[in-house]
Amino acid sequence: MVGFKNRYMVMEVMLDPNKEISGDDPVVITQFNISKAIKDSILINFGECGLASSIGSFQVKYVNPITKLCVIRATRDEYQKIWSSITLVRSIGNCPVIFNLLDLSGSMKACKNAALKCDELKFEQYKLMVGARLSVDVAQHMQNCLEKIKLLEH
Amino acid sequence: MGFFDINIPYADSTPANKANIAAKSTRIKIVIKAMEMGYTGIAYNRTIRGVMSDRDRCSIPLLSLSSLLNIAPFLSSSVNFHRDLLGVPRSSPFRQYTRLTICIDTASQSQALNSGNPVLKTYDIVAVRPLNQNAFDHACEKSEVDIISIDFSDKLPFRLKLPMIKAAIKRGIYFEITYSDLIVDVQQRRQMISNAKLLLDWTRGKNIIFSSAAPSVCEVRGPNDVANLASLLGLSMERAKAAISKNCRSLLTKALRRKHFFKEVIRVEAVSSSQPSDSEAPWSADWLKWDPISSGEGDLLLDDMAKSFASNNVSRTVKVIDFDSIIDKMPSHGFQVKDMISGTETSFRSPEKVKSFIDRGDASLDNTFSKHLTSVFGSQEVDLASNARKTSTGSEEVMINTVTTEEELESYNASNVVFASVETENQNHCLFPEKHNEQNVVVLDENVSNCVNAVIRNENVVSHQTSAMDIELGAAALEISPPSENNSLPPTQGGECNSSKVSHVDLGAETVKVDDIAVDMDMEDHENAPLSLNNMALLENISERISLRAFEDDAGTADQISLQQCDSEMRVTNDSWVANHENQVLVEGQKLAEGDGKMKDLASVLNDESLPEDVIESESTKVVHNSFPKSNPKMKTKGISSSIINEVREVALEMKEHGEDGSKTKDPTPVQRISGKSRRRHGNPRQAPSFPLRLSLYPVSFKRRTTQKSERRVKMTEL
Repeated sequence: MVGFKNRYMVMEVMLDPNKEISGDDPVVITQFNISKAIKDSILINFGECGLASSIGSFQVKYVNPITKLCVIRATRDEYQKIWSSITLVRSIGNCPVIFNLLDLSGSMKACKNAALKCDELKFEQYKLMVGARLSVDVAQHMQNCLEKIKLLEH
Repeated sequence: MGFFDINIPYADSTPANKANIAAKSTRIKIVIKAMEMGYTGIAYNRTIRGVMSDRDRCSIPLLSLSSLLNIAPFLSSSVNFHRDLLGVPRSSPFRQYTRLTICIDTASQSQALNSGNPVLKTYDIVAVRPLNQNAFDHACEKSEVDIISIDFSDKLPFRLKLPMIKAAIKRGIYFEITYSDLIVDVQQRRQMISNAKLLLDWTRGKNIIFSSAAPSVCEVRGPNDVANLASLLGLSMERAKAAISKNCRSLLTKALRRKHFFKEVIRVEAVSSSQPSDSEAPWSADWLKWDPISSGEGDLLLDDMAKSFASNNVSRTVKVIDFDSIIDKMPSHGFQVKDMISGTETSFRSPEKVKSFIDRGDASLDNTFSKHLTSVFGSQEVDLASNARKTSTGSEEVMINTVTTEEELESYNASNVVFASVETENQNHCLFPEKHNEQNVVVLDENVSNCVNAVIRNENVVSHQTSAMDIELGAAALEISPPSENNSLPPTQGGECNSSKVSHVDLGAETVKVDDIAVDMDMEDHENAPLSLNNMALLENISERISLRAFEDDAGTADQISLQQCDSEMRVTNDSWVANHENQVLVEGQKLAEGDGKMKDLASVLNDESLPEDVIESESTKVVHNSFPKSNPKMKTKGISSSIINEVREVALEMKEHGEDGSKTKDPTPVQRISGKSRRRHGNPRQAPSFPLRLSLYPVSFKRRTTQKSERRVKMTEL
């Protein structure tokens, strides 16, 4: 019935694991630079054909730069390749990163639920780490991001 | 099921220069990252090449929780978050192991890889990296190693042959594939995939483990991601996930068994003096809590992070004595306690940490027992271990007990039951686990008919349901030694009561409810403990009650009589340890037959007696391991002596699975709280099971269980 079969991956990006824990972000992650990094990785590992067959449904749907959470959509046939490529991504820009999959689902609805939960939990951790430095902007930005999740569509 | 990363490179850092400091910090960071991502165990891998020397003994320092928290203070929240996502129980300890990888070139180096090599024994896991065809063939067929690790990142210097690989799998050797080669470099990626694909096709994922060998923290990946990379290499997702969890776990069980057990059977443990007294729970209870893949001091309990800096919170580890070295020193003319004490004095170190999964909520008790255990017990253990294999162990053990526990004997003789001090309890108590552990091991392999073995075989008994064994167990269990609740049990079954016990024991055939019984026993035990300790008169009562108990089982009067007979005999021997186990087994059998209602009698009996608060306190610590199951209400109905309850408890403790959920119990006493607390601390039922053979040992009959029990059983069989 549904034409497009997709997989939605909720991933967290661990930026620069080598540096100390509570510094400032070396690079702000956006939809664009994550998408670029992943596409480069697919190209290197799976070549032109691999990139071509994955790129159809591939999209970075949501990124939260505060909690480093992102939601990536991939077609069901190629999601494992795309997932492996994501795992093999070594850096975004010149900042070493580690991608870690938190949740994998087949529908947008399940993905939204998982993303909301993970985001909230990660925000709690962020607040713990930041401590007293939490600014209102950040909190507001966070609220916006959560709203964005709720508005996600396939 | 936890996830393991069995290869975290460790650089030998004796010269303290800049590179080594960097290496150290790298190691810590990798460990933190691994823990954060949800791994439950890691192994530090030291690589050496060629010939081993004595300097190569394991000197890898295990990291402590405090050092990790210094660098990443908010580790626990992240760990919990990831663990929940992965489905790993939050409270399972983070284990650290040590591993050695030997690069083998020549045949002579291969010869060194046997079980007699003392250097290899100091490491938890031993891996071999063959560098040429001969070495590979030898490794597959003859070497006594755990892992064959092949460097796939370059062109392979030898050919992988299917019959060799099959032979290695048959011997139980695992092949290791390191995934960091995929991440680090593109050229290496190419080589690695083509090389590893062949291995994976032939093994179909069997006996394969994935590990990181991460040169820096950027190369560590989460468990799900690693499984996905493995599927890239041709494995199905299910096999891939198993390669980082199940296979690793069985590898660790095997490796630790090789390391800690003498001839794969006997485990010698040094009981530390700082061990909180489980005077209530016999050593068998400790054994129940035995964690087959515990890494000793390496286990980090994460849910105690807040308390990790408190002095009380010491993770308890059981020191394993290097059995071989002690055996060599043993005089040929037989066991001499003095010799053992002096001989093992040096090798024995009372560990500062205590077994994590027997973590007691009551920290204060930890300190009280520190003085009690001496190396005597350590030496005793050694001797016991050596004797364990002999069939005449029963008498020997009793003798040993009497010899070594002189203090106990004195007190015992004086009061014949009363234990004024918790200390004595502890002492005796400490004694038991040693023996118990050994015995358990021995029993598993041999069909020793003596009582001692029977005790060990609590688990086996249930499954095998040999009446003779049960009888022996009963007898042994009832042998009361001054310590703790054992005294209360005294009567019951001496070895001589075997015949009568048979019928009684048949009840034990219903091993099914082991966990239930255990739970019940815990309750009973706990309650019994204070009673037994303080009440000399209990002995008599106990014997009576035990006989009463026997009746409950529809076993007939024969049991009762036998019980009484046994009682008298029991008193003579000082083998309380055995008694505990025996009792427990007995009790189990009884309980099975009787059903819940009977337990209630016990409870009522117990409740009638006055329980001194302090005793209860001390007891509660012992009872920690087990949840106090609903046995409480059950116990009430039964008019069984507290001793029986003790037995039950002991059995329960022994039989009780590590992960039993204490929250089920409705124990109103403080014990329950404590036990529940401690239980939760240890690791919950959903954790990787402590008893890999449990399913086979306890055939579960699903007939007559209340929902509670079936719940428990489900958990038990959740293996």
